Amino acid sequence: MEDSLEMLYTREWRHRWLVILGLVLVLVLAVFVSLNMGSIHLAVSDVISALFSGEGISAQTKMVVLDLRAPRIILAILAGASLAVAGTVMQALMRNPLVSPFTLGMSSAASFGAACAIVMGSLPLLALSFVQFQDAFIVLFAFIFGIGSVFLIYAISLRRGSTSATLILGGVVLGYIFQAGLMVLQYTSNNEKLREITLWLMGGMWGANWSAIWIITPIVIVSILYLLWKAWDFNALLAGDEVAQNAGVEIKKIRIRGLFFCTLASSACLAFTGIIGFIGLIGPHIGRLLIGQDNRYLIPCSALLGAVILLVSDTIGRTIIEPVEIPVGVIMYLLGGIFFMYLLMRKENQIFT
Amino acid sequence: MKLEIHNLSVAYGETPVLKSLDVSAVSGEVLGIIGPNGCGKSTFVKTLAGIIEPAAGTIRMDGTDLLTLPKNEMAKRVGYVPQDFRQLASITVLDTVTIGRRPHVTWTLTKKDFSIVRSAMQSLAILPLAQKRLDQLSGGERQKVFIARALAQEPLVYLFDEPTSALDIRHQIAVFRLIRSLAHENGAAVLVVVHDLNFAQYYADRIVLMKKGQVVGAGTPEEVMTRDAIRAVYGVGMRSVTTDAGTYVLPEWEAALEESAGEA
Repeated sequence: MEDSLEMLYTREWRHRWLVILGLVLVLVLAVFVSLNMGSIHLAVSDVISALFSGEGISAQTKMVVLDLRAPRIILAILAGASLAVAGTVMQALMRNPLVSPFTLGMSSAASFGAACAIVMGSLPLLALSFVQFQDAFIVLFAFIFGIGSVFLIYAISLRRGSTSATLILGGVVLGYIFQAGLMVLQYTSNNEKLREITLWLMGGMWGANWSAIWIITPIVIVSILYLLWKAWDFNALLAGDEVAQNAGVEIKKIRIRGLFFCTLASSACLAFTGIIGFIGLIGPHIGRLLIGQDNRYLIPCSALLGAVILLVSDTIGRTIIEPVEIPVGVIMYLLGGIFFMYLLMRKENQIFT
Repeated sequence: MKLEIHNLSVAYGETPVLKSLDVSAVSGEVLGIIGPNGCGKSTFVKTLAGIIEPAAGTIRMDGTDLLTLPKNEMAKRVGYVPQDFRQLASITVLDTVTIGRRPHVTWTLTKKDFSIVRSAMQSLAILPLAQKRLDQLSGGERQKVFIARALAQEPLVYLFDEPTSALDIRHQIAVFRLIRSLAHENGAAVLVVVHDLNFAQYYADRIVLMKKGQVVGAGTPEEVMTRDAIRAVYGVGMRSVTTDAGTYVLPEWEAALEESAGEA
């Protein structure tokens, strides 16, 4: 008995690192497969030379790999990782396993904000000032609406008598309100923008381009690093507010800052992808099954899972019935809906109290 | 080490809950806090634990005011075991006890952290439960896990809010023996909210008697828990009975209540 606890921990530690390492390998593999697949099939050697040497391949191949597929893959990875991390952290902050950017209505709010920026960008007066910084404006608007919705829901959760069910219902309803807003924009804006907003409602990776990637990459990295740094605080919150406070966690501060960075990372991505549901639930829950509740490991694990799942779903979406693309948002609704039902039916984890 | 609480006042909104309390505790001693429901016992220990912000007052530990310290530094000095565990996610026993190391570590746990976690779990006999999730445990087991968590924090002062409310008599005695050994053997100062007056009398070195947010008596159990004082605070007549196993306080049942109802 004496040393079994340490052995247990060492075993768990080794297991956790193996899972993370395994997921990194899976992600790398998924990236290569995804670079190969598509309406133009490429040989592995072509992809490798397009990425590294740039010799011995046609300009078209190079363009397909570097300008079409690479940004799209990176966007899928960033979006999957940030939404899954946001879900993980929000679930810890609110001690509610059904909370995620989508179920709190934040995905819809951020997408609505981004769509507003796009529509404003097409107005003649604003267009001039917008054109140069349009991508930055889109991110900014997505963030403003995203953070507004999150703190609205958070305020509701602080009211006396609110249960975990109130929180989710409030979030779902808020999501509908912003989706209605998106539809109004769609109905009133001109034809050119109409298609873009339709895509927004379905969620997809069409918005990928290098300038978007350059904006969101640092935002996502900084946010995830901050959240990872605070992993001990999230762990402590799992044992209740009082215990966390006694363990030295400033719970108000960590809730507000945690929600801020969750929203920042996910709304930056959502600004270019539109509404992508459920990845913030699927990532963390599979992560917990694989690796347990310790957020020091769960956060990177969920990030990798989210990235892999979204990238694979997007790759399947764009290749399964070529040349027609199925938006990855639609695939996530399908997968996520089924997963959500499973979470609700699971017996050992009482979700609504 | 001496803990001196001076002029401590707490209010929930406009309602005052603690009215300028003066209490002191020293290391090596169990201080029992007794008083009727709603007298502010829990609020008092939660304020000491850094959970509730007081409206006024100081909590000095050998001269340093804990209220001015960063939360993390306060956490290294004061460990708290809550009374109820309603807000729970499904984490494992090991992960819960490990939370006690949070104020001491930056990122990874060292071998030393480990042996502290292990001995905390050992002293409550919960090592076999290490991988169980909290929601799979009984109320009593859960209470032990949270006591172990506070132990893992290695504080100088322990705060227990009715630590045995979910336990049967055998485990109640075991927990109180542990509480006593924390003070007498490990040299910690222990403040414990107790409902059962017999436990208070037997295990506390000193007693603080509270009523309506104020301290109305402090001293040894014999000094504080007199028949008159108990009746004045609880509104119940109590009788001290000495047997060969020790002294017990027993209620005078219905007669006691009727008598006090007449007074009120």
